[in-house]
Amino acid sequence: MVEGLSSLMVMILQVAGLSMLALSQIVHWRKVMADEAFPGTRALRWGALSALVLAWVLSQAVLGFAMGTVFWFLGLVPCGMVVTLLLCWRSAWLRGVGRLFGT
Amino acid sequence: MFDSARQSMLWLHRFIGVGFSGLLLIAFFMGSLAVYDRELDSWMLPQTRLAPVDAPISLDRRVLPHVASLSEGKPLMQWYVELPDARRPLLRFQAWTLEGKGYSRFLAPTGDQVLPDAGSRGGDFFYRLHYTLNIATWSAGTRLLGLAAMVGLIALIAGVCIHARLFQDMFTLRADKSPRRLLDLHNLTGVFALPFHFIIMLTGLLILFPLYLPAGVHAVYQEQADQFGAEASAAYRREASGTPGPLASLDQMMAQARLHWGNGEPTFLRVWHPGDANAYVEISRSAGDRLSKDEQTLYFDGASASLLHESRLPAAAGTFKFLAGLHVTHFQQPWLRALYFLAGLSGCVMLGSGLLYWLEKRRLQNANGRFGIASMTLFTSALITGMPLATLAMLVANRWLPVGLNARADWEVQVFYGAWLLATAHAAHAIWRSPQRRAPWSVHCLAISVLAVLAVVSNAWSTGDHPWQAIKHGLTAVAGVDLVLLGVALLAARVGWRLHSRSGAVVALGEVKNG
Repeated sequence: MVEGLSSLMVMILQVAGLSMLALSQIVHWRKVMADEAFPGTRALRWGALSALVLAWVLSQAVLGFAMGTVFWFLGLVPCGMVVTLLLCWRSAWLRGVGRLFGT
Repeated sequence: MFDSARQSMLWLHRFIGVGFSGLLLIAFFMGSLAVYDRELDSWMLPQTRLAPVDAPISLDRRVLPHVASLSEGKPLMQWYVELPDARRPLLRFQAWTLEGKGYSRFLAPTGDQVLPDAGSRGGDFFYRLHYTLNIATWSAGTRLLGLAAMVGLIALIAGVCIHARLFQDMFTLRADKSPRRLLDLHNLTGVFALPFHFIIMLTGLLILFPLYLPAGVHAVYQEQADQFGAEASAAYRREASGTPGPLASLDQMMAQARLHWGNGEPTFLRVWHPGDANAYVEISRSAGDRLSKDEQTLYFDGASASLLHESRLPAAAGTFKFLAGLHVTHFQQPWLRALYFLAGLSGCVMLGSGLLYWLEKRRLQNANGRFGIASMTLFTSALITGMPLATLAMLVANRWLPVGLNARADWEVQVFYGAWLLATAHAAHAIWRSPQRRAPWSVHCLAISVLAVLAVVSNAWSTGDHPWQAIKHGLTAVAGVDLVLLGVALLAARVGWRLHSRSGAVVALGEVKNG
């Protein structure tokens, strides 16, 4: 149970990190945030890096170094696709992530 | 011939993609199913559906008294048991006679029950298909897949080199632009799962390297290639003495093994030369809690139960076992297994969307269509929808064929290939009739949806284990397979219906134009 919840948490962090990475591209930012000013790539990419590193650390704490690292790499596949599909069909759902960096 | 290195890489990527995607698609799809081979066993072999047992198992009581009856009393070279684990709560007994005849039965972990003959190859069929193509002659299937994996790696590297906007397009899917959306899907699945695709093809080649690169092994070991395997895995061997001898308690040996490993659990026990004074027992550690396939095997003297040898792998073999472990997924972590399954399917999407994009581009360039386009359309249709159709037909046949049918397992396999052939013939018929040389995607998707639902209903009807009942009885593997089948049915129905509506709209537009 604990392992399952922790694994879920890792993937939520990965979705958050990849969402920030996607929003750091101005095309995606405009699609999601419309008229809100673009905060620049630096803050968003640092945010993405932090979330992804945190996900990696958590996955290692739960599964150990080797299994945790493999889990993190494989988690990028569904999480990356989820972010892409959200950007394509439900971009408003990513507004919450964008607002964290809004001015 | 080419103006730039990028152009030559593009040509190489296309050439390999069109030439070898078929083989790779079979390997990826069947490999993804093989991640859940034991769960499929549970679904396809209802007699093995037993609730997990927490009590420790005594091999002295549960297996030893039955060895002679399970192997028809014949003198044996070896027998072994695979012990129950979180994914299969059963003992699997296998024995080999001195003449090479094999016996295989499942045993219930408690009581005296020997489960009836399988009558199905279960998940093992998909597992073997994914690396042998079921072509045994000269290991041709394995060799072909090895070639496909090797050139697949080259295509992967070439694909990264030609992808000029790798980072800019990382989260881009232009769903409303055809055929651009196919290229986007190809790039997305290729980029997000790039480490997985690279490692899985590389380790697939590594696992079978003695077959692909035998020269080095032959040069050193000449005719004794087995000796290489024994040395690489630091195994222990001794010949039978020819004089009878007793066998000490197996439970005692397992207890010693547990003590030796610390927190490890045995997963496999093999008795060599049973009944002989030189008998010895091999016990392997479960790889369920780690990635490496290193079983840390211990060897005990059969008569005295004293430890004879511990296999400590050389560094190179240890690295090999780790890489092999990344491919064969013997670990038990359910979330990681699910991610392997999804990554495998992403490989299928990458290959399928690549083929479809190539086709759409050719179609746009040659508006009237040509024989080449028609044959490639048939090829992609046979792979992308024909293979899942055949798989589902096999699952339905598994529930419909009579239990007492002679060679039932072979009938299932024939249904698989028959359904695949039928789907291909139907696609050929549709492509031949269609002026645009279109594959019957919508019909095939709807057929997939119907067959997936039929498989779930057939399972519930023949065994009573509908998903809710299976969950209630702790049969999570059966419920999991059923739920995935229902998910597939929903997705295929949605895609099929959309394609059907769209093709209707295209026909109507054509009539307006012609009218």
